[in-house]
Amino acid sequence: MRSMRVLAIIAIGGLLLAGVLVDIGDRAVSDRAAQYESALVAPTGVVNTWFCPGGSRLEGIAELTVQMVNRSDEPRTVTVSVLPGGSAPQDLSTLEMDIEARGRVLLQPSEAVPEAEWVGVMVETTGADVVVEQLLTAAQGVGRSPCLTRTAESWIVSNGATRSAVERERFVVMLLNPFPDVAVVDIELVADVGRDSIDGLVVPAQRVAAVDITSEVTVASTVAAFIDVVSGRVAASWIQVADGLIAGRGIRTAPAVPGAADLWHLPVAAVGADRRDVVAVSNPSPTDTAEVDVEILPEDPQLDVGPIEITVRPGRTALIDLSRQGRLEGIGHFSLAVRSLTPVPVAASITSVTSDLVDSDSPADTDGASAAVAGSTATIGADGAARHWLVPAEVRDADSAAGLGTDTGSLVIVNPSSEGIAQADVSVDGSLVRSVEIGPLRSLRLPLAGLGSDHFVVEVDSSAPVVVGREVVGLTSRSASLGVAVDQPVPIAGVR
Amino acid sequence: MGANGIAQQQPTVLAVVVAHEPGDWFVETLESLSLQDYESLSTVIVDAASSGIGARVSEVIPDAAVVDGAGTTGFSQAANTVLDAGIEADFLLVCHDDVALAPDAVSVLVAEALRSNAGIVGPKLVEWDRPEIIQHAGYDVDRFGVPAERIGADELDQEQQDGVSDVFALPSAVLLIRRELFVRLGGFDGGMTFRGEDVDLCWRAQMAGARVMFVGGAVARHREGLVSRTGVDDTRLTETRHALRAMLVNHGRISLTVFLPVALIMAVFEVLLAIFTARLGRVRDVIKAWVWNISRLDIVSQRRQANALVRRVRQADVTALQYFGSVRLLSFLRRQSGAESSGLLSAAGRGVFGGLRTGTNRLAWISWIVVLAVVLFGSRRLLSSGVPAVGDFAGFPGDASDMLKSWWGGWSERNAGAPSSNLGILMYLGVLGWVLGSMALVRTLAVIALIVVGLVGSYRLLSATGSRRAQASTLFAYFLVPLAPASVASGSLAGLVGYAAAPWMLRELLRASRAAPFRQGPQGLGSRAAVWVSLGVAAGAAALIVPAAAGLVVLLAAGLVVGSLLAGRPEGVPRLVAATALAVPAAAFLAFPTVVDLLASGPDWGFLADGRDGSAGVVSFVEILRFAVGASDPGWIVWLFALPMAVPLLLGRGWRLEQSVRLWMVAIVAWAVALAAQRGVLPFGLPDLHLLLAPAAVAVAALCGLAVLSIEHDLRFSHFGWRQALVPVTVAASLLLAVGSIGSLEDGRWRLVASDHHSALRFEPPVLEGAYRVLWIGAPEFLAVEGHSLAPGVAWAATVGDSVTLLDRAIPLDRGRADLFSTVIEEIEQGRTARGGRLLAGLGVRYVVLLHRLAPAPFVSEEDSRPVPPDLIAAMRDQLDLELVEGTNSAVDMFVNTAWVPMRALYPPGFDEGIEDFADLEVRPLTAGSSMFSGDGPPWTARIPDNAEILISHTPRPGWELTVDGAPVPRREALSWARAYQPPGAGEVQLSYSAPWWRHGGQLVGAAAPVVLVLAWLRRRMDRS
Repeated sequence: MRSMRVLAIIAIGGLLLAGVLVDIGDRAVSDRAAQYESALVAPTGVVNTWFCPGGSRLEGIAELTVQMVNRSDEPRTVTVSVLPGGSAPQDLSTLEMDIEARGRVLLQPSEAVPEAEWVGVMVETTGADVVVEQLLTAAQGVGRSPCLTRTAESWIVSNGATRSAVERERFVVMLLNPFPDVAVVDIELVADVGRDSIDGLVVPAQRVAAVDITSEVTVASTVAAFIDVVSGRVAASWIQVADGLIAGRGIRTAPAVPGAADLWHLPVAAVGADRRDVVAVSNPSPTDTAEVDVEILPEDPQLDVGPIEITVRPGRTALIDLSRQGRLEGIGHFSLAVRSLTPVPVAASITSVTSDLVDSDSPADTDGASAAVAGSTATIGADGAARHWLVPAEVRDADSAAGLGTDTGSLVIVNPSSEGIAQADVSVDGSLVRSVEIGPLRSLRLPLAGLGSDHFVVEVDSSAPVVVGREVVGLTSRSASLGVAVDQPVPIAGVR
Repeated sequence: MGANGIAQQQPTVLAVVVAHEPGDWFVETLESLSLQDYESLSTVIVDAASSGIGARVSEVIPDAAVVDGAGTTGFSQAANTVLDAGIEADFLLVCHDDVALAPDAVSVLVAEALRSNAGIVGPKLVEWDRPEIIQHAGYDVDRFGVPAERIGADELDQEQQDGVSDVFALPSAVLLIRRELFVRLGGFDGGMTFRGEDVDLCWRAQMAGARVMFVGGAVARHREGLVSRTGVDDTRLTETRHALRAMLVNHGRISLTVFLPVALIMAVFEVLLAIFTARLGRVRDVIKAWVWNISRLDIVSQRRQANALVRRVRQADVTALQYFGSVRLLSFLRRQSGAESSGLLSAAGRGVFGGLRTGTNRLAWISWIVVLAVVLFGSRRLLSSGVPAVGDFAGFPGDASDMLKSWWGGWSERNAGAPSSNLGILMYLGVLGWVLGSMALVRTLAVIALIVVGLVGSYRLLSATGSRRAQASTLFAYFLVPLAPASVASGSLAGLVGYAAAPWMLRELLRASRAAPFRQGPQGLGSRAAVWVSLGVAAGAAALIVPAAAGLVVLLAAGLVVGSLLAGRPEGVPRLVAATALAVPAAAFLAFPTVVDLLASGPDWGFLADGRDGSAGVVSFVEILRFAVGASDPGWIVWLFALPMAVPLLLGRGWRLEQSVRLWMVAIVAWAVALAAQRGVLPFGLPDLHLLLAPAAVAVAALCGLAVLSIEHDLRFSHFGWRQALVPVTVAASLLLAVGSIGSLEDGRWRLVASDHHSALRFEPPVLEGAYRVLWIGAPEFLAVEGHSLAPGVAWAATVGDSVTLLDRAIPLDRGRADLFSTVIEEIEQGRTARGGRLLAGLGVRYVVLLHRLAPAPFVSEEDSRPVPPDLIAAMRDQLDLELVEGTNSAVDMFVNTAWVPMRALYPPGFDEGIEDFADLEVRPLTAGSSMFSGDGPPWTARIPDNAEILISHTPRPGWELTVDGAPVPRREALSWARAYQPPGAGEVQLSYSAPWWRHGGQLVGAAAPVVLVLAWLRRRMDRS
């Protein structure tokens, strides 16, 4: 009896103690892995919705035109909802449009809502065969960028300017609310001349709102907007027009950056006598300073350029004028990787301004990046990579351009892997044009003139996740942007 | 001649022996009279049967007179013959012919009658063949004329009844009555042939102001074999009818007005019970008793007039001497509770009063009164305000007929709709609601009843030990274990069912193990089978409400098996395993036809796990030990249970130590399973944590009971030392526990919140714009119905209409097209669609509700929230056609589907053209049709115009039919999953569902199963008695 009692007490005590000890260890808490939401434009659903935050009507600063390109061999029907903005009461207008196989449709949505001062568009498509872009036509040129495929609760616009008097700059943030309930937005503006904020901006349901930053922060050579959607979700882009000696002449538009990340790739960058590329790195953290390396990924595998190290204070944006980086002279086109060394995510984008300082009759500077067409571009960084990309492209006149040796635009493929080689097939209209290999942390630039003519869609199928960008040179203006990822993007930081 | 020279005149006594063809023993009866030491005793033998027994009498008592009792019927009339004989004796000693008096019996009786000035005195009657067993010691009598023995069954004569006491009545076997009183009362009631005449006589004596006294010093042996002598067993009939006669005759007008209706109600109840238990003989006896009395109302009236002449005492004073309640009812209840086995009427009430007088029984009664009072006190706000629809506590439909209709209908609208296998509990709740007139009251009572059932089970758990103190201790401990408050506060129906069922299951398992002290009673196969059936019934009854609760048997058995092995008593292990397996048939019978349906439709573990997927939880092991698993934290005070739990382990000897080891292991196994569930180490989900902890709760309570037993029996064997200190420490801990735990009852609702989500949400009435579904997403504990796992700690469920009721908890036979919900939610969650509303519209979903807390703020604080993952919320907000309802409570996010179309609606033909696949809805949304059939149904009726189609959005299954003017309408598939009916023209349409006949048959069997089992149990109890 006694031994049984002792044994029982020991066993019971031991089991209870074991329970306590077992529970000391971390639990196998199967927290849902935060679903990765890329900043890329990625129509990966069966039905995709494109959000074009838009522009103005014809009389405005940048008239919106929506371009819908069908890259499939079947005609497609899309549903276009035109969302008005401005003070005039105007209802949403919905129309269905057919796009023939391998066809392209241009829509000027302001015609559907003629009373609206501003106009945005929502396009619903079946499959990922249709790519939707917004083209903004201004007196200073034409800007283009793919429309967004997501909405978000926060957005960052890193680099705008409002020197309206001297440089004739105007900086407008476009907010599109496609949802059936209103959105309320706070915008914090951080400029070189100080800070300002817009609180409680209401974006009515299924409307667009244009926030003219120029009237809020005047005479700022650089202004960043941190957009916080207090209620609801919106899609955001921005428009920057300029016509001055310093800022150059042109219009650039790009989506805002929907969030911060540890690693960004900027595929299109260059330095040259007539070109000024500026990388903007924003740190949305209100408390932590970010230590950031801007790594140079030249096309030439023999080149090895050290990174540019910067520090970005909390809530601020750091600008890096690549044209002033002596180490980049003569390396030609390259890509950039913006890597936060501290656990403080940042947002990155790049703007490029080209001027017509160079005699247009002279041959292009083949060492550097020359541009025969003045203008400005803006590209947000890519925080994700994908294997399959679509890139709408156009070549103004391939033969003459090739003959002149001028830049007609280019397709840039970046392999973000530090170890593996990416093999990419580049096709146009379903026909394989090029098969290329891109080494680890290298980029490859393919002139668009060598891929197709007039308007066409470039398809990139890669053996490994890559980032694809493009630079399109029109007759009077230039634009640059990322391609459209048509399979599920993966975070670049996770690519090995 | 006395010492002082004055002649002492002894009172004369005439022994009146009523003989009716007595047997050989009669000689002994006569001899006992002849041997009396009382000198002034003469004897008269009334030969009731005129059988010529004079010779036999004269052989023994030569001077005895023999009176011919020819023409008399029964004992009473025979005894009354002496009234006409002109006798002069002071006392009459009325005797049966089967008694044998001790030599000093008469002298003792006379002496006491004189000393106490009693009108009637009677001796202690012992059994003829076993004089050490007391047979009668006087009667207590209730106000319905039913006598109750003042002693227990087979009570040994240890001189405990040798005193003198006032009683209400004495058996007529031997009575010493003053002649004058006997004459004044008119003797026995001649209408009472046998049985009951003694109670009537004594009752009238009490009215006349005479004392009726039991004299334990006088002893007589009594054969009491009337049935065997007459060959007719009319005991039940005669007792019933004579008790009624005594009541009718002897009550005053006012008291009769009060007690006669009560007696009638009790008679009706007795008849109904007898009918349900197939005891037609009892039905006949009760009815005949009443008919007999009603047909003799003239005699009753005459006797009441006669009584008025002799009455000397106020009726109220006589009534005050009677038992307050009903001996018959109390006896019945005591038998059902197993307290004592005795005949329903023949010895009704035997031991009732004796039991009440003992200290341990008094403790039990006081314990129950205290516990029930506290339960009622703790439930006062629930009783007054109802139970909010929190967690599993789904509301009940407002109308009892809805419950019955749903049970019979066999269709569940939950999720996408599917045939359901409704358990019979729905029918019983519906009937109860119909009887009480309020389903809300039924719901509240059901919640409280589960607690009380658990408490009763805990009290019965250690009944085999024979210690009322241990039982009371177990009862109090089970009440104080914070599982019940935690279950109520968390809205955990599973926890309450586990609380109710676990003590009963554990008791039957312990009986099945036949380990001491549970090895009492017969050991045959029948006895073992009874235990298996009882175990199965406990499991099946639990499964009727929460199917997963039946699994507690396995959990409890596992603990007992481990404990038996640890205690070195493996012999009970096979019995436990066998009992667990053999309990299945009874459980399956009770849960019929659901068990068959579930087996036929394939095992679905998710159904038992209620949407849990085996992911880790947030409750720590320490919290599990403290039962702090729900919305209320009992605090540190629960640790005090450790003291009484340790006592049997430290002090216990023999079986008390062995059982304590078993019970500890039961608790540890339950805690271990709960820990495994919370740590997410299992590849599958487990049911509600409250349910898993029910075995631990009952083990804790039982250990507290064993602590009392150990202190009672084992402490004395210990040398003086620290063990003795355990007693005051344990008592102090128990008192602290009691005081500390009462706090949970302060709010009158067991810390259940005062409001539910439905009061915070605004749903449009379906009848206005059309029927719709609501998609609920949240922690499984927050959902009112069984959920489907969506993500770790997140489940979904869909219900129809603006309220969730118990009907939505019906068990679907299959998942129907619930897969479509999963698909749509996944599409939304993965960001593959921005038109999730259109897809949900195809399922009739109008509202999407994300539950972050059990109940709305401020009733549940943010610290107790388990929010839906932010990315899922973001995905919902990304939908272009889901509109977030602003201003709702912070405990929920509610979206309105702007693309919604009614579940049942009228459309133009070809309304779904181009929708080949369900996903096509994303690009080809349905336009809203005219709502139809939005009221309660099925069936529904409506009038339709010409050239229309009717879309019905639920899982298509055989049994659904739509008719126009009585003619069936052809149908086709719509939206790739639903049905579109194509009426040929305008007319009156009816949409109905009819389950197959065999399903209805199964439901009837399932509904009848509890009745059959209860009747079988009652019959067994009665047979044993």
